[in-house]
Amino acid sequence: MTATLGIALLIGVAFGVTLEQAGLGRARKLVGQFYGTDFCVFKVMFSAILTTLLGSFWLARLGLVDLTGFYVPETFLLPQFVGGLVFGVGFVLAGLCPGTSCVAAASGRLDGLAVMGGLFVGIGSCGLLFDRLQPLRASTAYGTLTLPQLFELPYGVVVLLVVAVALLAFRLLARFERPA
Amino acid sequence: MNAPRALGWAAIVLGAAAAFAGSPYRDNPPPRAQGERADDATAPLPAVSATQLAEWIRGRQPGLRIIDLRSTDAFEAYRIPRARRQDPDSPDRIAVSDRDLLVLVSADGRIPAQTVIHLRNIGAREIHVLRNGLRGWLEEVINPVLAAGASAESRQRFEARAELSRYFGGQPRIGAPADPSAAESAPATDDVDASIAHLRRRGCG
Repeated sequence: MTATLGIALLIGVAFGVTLEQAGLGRARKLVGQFYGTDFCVFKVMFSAILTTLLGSFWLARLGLVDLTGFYVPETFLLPQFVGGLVFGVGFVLAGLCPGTSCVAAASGRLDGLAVMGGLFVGIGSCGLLFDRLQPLRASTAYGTLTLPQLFELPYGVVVLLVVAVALLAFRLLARFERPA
Repeated sequence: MNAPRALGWAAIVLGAAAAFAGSPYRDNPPPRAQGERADDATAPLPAVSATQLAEWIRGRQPGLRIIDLRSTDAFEAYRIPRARRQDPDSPDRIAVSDRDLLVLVSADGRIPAQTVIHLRNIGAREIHVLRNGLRGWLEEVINPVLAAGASAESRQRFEARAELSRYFGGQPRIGAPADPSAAESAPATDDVDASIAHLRRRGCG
């Protein structure tokens, strides 16, 4: 347990340092995607998705990892839609998301600390109101759901489609990006 | 060729190859999709004893979820610690994770088939039913009775159960030898109601 926590801490610190080095701890850089001036966040996110997708697929195909051991978060359609909207509004207002607010706070930025304060208020409120939110939570619960199951396509075909969509998006964004 | 372009080409090659590489799941089948009926969806559920459940609760068993399928009134009258009520007539409102350890609770240990089918179809892997339902919980954990004149070995086993019982506010006692025929013929719901009424009088409701 201690070793696992130690590894998690190391990965977390490395992740934070990388974000800071890439400039993703600064609100001005992050909100650039909403004004069409800087799509760095989108590119970073999709690059991470592609790396994970291709990496996990091929490592599993080569027998080095067992995909059934991966934790797949459950789908709660309506609650996740509402949560996504709340998250998006908060992201636009604050210019930071939870992860980047930690990085900003660790770098000594006050706006990062303020967003982290809001983060804890949100988590605490959600926990306190959990019983009241239970009907919403259970309203559209689909259990664990993945794209191959949803579209009834082979796993590898879904991998190819996601890669194609991501690369196409990269090309389109490069065309529409207007650096400030 | 710059680095982003090279990485893009690498992604295209690996993605295209993935489409023809077959399933990444080797020996294990992929998780079941929503709506895809499991072959063993109607197979009987494994039962868990009330004592085992009590030990799971006390030991904070990871992933443990206790779903109480009794009526709202019955649930409000008495509930097993950490249990959440769920209407058995609308099992589609139950959301689970494939890592949950589910224990279903009814009044008498009988679980509606559609609830079991739903849980298995949405990917629940570990589903147990509480043996004898709430009646079993009350008899085994809350009101365990050691028959008078029991052997030393039985007394030793009972001590462990008594400690567990006291943890949950129960009252273990030594009483007259149990009469199995009387237990069989007694109406189960009356037993449960009487036990719950007794608990509420003690202020544990």
